[in-house]
Amino acid sequence: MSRRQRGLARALACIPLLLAFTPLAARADSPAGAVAEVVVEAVVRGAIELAFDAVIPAPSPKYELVVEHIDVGEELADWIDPRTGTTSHLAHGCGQLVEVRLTGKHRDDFLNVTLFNTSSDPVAVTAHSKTIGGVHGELRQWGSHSVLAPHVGGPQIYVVRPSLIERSSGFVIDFDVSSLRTSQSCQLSVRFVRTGPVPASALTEHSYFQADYGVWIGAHLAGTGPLHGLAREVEQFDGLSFGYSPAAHHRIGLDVGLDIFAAGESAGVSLVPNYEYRAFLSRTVSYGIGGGAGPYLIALRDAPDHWTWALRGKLELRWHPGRSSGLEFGPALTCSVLPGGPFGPNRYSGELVAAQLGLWATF
Amino acid sequence: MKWGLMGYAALAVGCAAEPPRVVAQLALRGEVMISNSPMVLRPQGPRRRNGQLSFSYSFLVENSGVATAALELGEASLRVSGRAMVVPCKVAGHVYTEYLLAGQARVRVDCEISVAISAAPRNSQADAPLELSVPLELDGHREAVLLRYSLLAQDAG
Repeated sequence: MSRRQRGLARALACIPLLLAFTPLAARADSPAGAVAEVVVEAVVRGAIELAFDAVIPAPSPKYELVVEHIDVGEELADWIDPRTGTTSHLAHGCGQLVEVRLTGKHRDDFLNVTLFNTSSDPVAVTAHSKTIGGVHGELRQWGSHSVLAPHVGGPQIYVVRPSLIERSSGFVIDFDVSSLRTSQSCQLSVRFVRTGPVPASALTEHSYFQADYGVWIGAHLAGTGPLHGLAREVEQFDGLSFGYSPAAHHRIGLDVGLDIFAAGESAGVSLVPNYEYRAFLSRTVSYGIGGGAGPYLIALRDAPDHWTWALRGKLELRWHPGRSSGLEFGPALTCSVLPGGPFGPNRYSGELVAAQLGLWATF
Repeated sequence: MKWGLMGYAALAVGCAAEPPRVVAQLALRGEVMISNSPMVLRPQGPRRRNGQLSFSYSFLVENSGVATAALELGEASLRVSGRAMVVPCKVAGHVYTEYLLAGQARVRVDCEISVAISAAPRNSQADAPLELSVPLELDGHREAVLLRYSLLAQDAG
């Protein structure tokens, strides 16, 4: 007999009691009637409770909540669980319901967290991570949603350290949940395991390269000013570049340039430290705009060498076929200005505009 | 005047924006969590075919307990306009009447929903809520999870 059937049977068993006591209860002015009234009320209440107990299951932890989702970018393919077709992990504990997804956009990876505080206390929630190998790291949170009021949900976004994603086979996110009322704290963990190969395949969206070096070859398109007389004989503009990106959108570099004049009769060598701002058109295409200044040596076959200064602006487009290749390609346009005046001989001042094609190795 | 017109235009555009069909839901039954995030992250409108509106409602189920939970997919039902109808639900492309979800396991369930076009609201300001009920049994207790979806006036064509 099921729980529901048992409850209904008990409720039905109360009917004879009701039939016996109801006529007495009708005479409520007598002592027997008063007793009967109490008995009838108790029996009716009990029967109702039993009947409802039969229909409504015993209470168990049950929450059903409407919350807000915010997602940054697309899910990282290498971390998608084939059973669910998503990177999503669900967890509960410490009075919290948590859903965590791993996404990437351009060169950043994110932990998208949807939290719901089911407790009656306001709580502060912070997350930190460790790879399965044991390397700990703080996650950088976007926004200021770390405090949740009772029975309130909301999204949290964390920027994930590249080292956590790139070469690890898995990592754990620990959520520290602290009650702001009792100061008690509790930890809730969510474990991610990579389903794709290690290191990441080209499908992984994350592509944050911290260092690069490369070569470029190109030609001058135009020259102006007193330099023009020399520049019109310029045939090539080649060079090397070295760069370091402390953040996804910022690159500090050093360009070593070589201008070939008059079929190699003369040359100009530049050493230009520069800064570049990087922006992303898609997950594989980025562009950079930047500039710098540095010394420029003009070496002429039949005249003494001259030192001057060069200012250089650059617009660059880069494409990388996938992070596993570690290579980037792309065209660039540079404009070099040799100001002359106090910075060098006026007879070598002017502007040079050049187009190049570059190849970079990235790390 | 120009700014006023632009304001009205912005308001009109804002008002004309399609209301969400699905709101994010997280549910907990015992040690089993349910999320409809696949529907939230990749919202989809119903397809019209042979007088029917069809769509797949996907949700995630994760059992963080030790005991096995039973998803009674054969009893999944959709409540529309006060009536309930049985809905076939799939796991990994197979229709199950009951799916046993072991402890520490997770799964994605896709329920194939098909309702008459007449279920869509005629009034553009209204929506017609559908409720998908999926029973699950845990430790001898049976409970249902209700997942919601809204049909919009545009679905009626």
